[in-house]
Amino acid sequence: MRFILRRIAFYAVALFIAISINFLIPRLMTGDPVQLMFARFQGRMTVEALDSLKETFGFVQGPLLEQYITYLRNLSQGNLGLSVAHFPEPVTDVLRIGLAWTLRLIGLATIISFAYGTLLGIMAAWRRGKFVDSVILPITSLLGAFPYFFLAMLVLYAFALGLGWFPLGHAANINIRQDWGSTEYVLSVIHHMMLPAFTIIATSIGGWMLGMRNNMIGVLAEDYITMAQAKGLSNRRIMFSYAARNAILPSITGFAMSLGFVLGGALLTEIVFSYPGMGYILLNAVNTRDYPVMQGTFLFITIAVLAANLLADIGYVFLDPRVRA
Amino acid sequence: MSKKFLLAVSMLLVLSFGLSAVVAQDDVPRGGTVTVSHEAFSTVNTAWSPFAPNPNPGLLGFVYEPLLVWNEVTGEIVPWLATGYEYSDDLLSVTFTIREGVLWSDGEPFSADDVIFSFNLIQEYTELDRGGLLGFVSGVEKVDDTTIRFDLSEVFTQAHVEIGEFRPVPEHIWSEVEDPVTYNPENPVATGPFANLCVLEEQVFELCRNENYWQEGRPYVDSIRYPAYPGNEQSNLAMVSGEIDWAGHFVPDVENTYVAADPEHFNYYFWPGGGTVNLYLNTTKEPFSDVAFRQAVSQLIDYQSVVDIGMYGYTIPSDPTGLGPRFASAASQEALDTAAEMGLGTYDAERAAATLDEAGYVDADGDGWRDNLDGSALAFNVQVVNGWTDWVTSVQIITQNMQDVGLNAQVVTPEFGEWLNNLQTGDYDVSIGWSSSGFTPWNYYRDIMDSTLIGSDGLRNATTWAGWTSEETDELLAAFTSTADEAEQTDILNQIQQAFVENVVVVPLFPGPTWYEWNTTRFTGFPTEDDYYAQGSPWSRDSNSRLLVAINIHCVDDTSCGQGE
Repeated sequence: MRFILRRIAFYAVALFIAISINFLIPRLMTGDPVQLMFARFQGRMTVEALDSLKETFGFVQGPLLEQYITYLRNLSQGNLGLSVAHFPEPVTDVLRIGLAWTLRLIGLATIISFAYGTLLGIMAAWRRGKFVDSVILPITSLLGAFPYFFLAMLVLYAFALGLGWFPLGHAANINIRQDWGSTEYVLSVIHHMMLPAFTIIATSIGGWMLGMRNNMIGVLAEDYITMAQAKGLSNRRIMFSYAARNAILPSITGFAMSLGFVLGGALLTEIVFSYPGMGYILLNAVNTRDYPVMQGTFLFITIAVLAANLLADIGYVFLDPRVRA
Repeated sequence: MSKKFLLAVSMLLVLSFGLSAVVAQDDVPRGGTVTVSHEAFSTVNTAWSPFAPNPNPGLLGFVYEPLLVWNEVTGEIVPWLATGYEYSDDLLSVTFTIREGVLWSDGEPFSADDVIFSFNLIQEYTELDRGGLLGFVSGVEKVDDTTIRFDLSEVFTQAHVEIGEFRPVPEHIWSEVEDPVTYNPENPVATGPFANLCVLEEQVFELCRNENYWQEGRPYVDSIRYPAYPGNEQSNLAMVSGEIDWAGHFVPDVENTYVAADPEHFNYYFWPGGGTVNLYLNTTKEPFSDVAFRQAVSQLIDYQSVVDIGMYGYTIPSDPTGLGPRFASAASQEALDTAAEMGLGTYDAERAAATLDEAGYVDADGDGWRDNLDGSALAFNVQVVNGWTDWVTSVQIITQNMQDVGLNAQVVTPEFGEWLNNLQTGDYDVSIGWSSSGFTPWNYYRDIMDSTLIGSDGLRNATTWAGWTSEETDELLAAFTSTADEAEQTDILNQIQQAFVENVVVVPLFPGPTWYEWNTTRFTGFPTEDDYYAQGSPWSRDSNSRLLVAINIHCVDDTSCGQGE
């Protein structure tokens, strides 16, 4: 228990520091949101309009300390402020849609990729040199080494444009009303999710598999495995309860980290498959120097990474008795 | 010459104008949903206030209409919510006549009071002044039920254009709004042909026809629909698959990648009437402060290759005045003659080398590169926005041209925000950049040369990026908008051009192509290259001229766009 409390205190301090850095980082970039918004019109807007823009965006123009205090005060009330690029929309509204789709697509894909990757890694280590180890592992590693954009475009051209099995883009058929109660809509969402999810899993599964396999091999060489075998325990029991349980610890940390980063979105996936999500929102925010949206996105990522790590720490407590001491 | 301009174009004329490409109105097939794409977006931008700095891409014009529309192609002002305007004799006020019989989309009548209310709104909440009207309008007065007078704080004879761009909001809705600055209407009430937001999903929205629209029988189509495409590849794919009816996208090698997919129905016309793309030389820095050096730069560029290779042949080389085909008639012969004499805007590497030799930029240390006048090494960067492939290629050609005459120039590609910041703070050597395209050529020159646009903090606003100013041109630029006499304006404009050319303030490269593609499988009535009645690109602009196209599009025949299904 003391261990968990100590971790929580540590995370609280880390959160505060991260929040402050989230405020500072966007403002360290050259470029000014108001000038960029004006420039977006490339001379199609009269220069007189600049004054009103400056006035509108007073909240990103004042002295840094003043902005920081306002930011902290708003944050303590759960208010992320107003977006610059989508003014007068609040940041929470801008992030809402992207967050939901990112969680669905990237979250799901990450979990599937981790689960199958780890399982395959265990099998590869257990039967070294056999099919999983000598055929599947090289294939997944090769896929992981592919430039993602290239693989995604290839898949899109082959299965969507060429064969027509999958839609060219979007999160659902845009001709169907969005209604989570309707089977047609839900099926359309799943249909639209398959291709992007496949590309994400295909490029990330190799990493999980290789990591797990290598950890597992180290553990399998331990004396207690030989001991367990000598005791005549079933292979399944040795494989999962004796070997994998120990070997999975580093993978759990990696998984927690990547779950946290899920919220950053997957920019390339989103662009190739016209999929809504946080990556595109963040890219747009960076391009327009939309400080409030950047802060909001970073905040969610920070909280998610910290929360996932906290969960991983707690998970350790259960998986590894040594930590409990 | 009278100082009055009375624009008494009747309602009939407006209609017949719109109909130029169509047969009798009764025969026009109705219905259908036009799928449009110009801006890249991933989820729908739900800023539905006309005062939003970056509103929904379909909002301006289609939903909220202006008082006057101006047509970039013909140079005409088309009466819209106002039927005409008239300056007072002292030019210190301009009176607008407000159209009668217009209804808001909720059925309430539109009146002069709405316009006055809307203007008072921006006076009260100055941050809503998107058109920058408060810079020259001091107040608004109701003359009678259909006339309102805008009082000007100084003589400004472009006032009618800028006030004409103003898009009023309904008083009966906005007067109840607590904070108009952050107000975001859920379903905007407006006067436009498509002022009815009927579909709003995360990745698509549709603007349906306004049944109360004031132009009898218009628009012909039922709705305009915007699906989300987050990048060029996605929208190009949708265009090729025939999903999109009306687009405003850059398409590489358009003949082969787009038209070839369905030559009978897929069309494009990149009218070279956008703002001129210039090469900016930082005239506050050596050696770019030297006119002779700038003259040599203007001579060494292979304009034809820039246009053919960098811009895929989508535009033409600019003339040295930078006015382009849109304002060709305003180009001063005297300025053109001066330019010809100086060899500006004509590719001649030998002459450029001679100009540089003569000015003293010679290779002093024998390293193969020309040096500064004092003998120090001369090397500079040409900056272009990272990822803007057409511009990057253009700049690569220009840099090669520079190297060919012995100038040690390198391409640098900062990210957009940094690129802009460099230009505005004067922290660059040479850069490619756009320029302003307004109602008159005055906007182009003013935004490049007017010293009042350079802030007290030294920030080079608008396109004053060259940093070149002179009191004389400042006076000329001010004089242009202080007179309503056309002959006088022409004379002033000629003098401005003369100064622009003589000093090689910037090096005009090519007029910006306006991206526009249309698909005639379902719809017709689009401007074509032969009948370019208005600018075809669906992008929202100050002119609001996309309205002219939107109310003119209609189904090819009674079945082409799935009517009545």
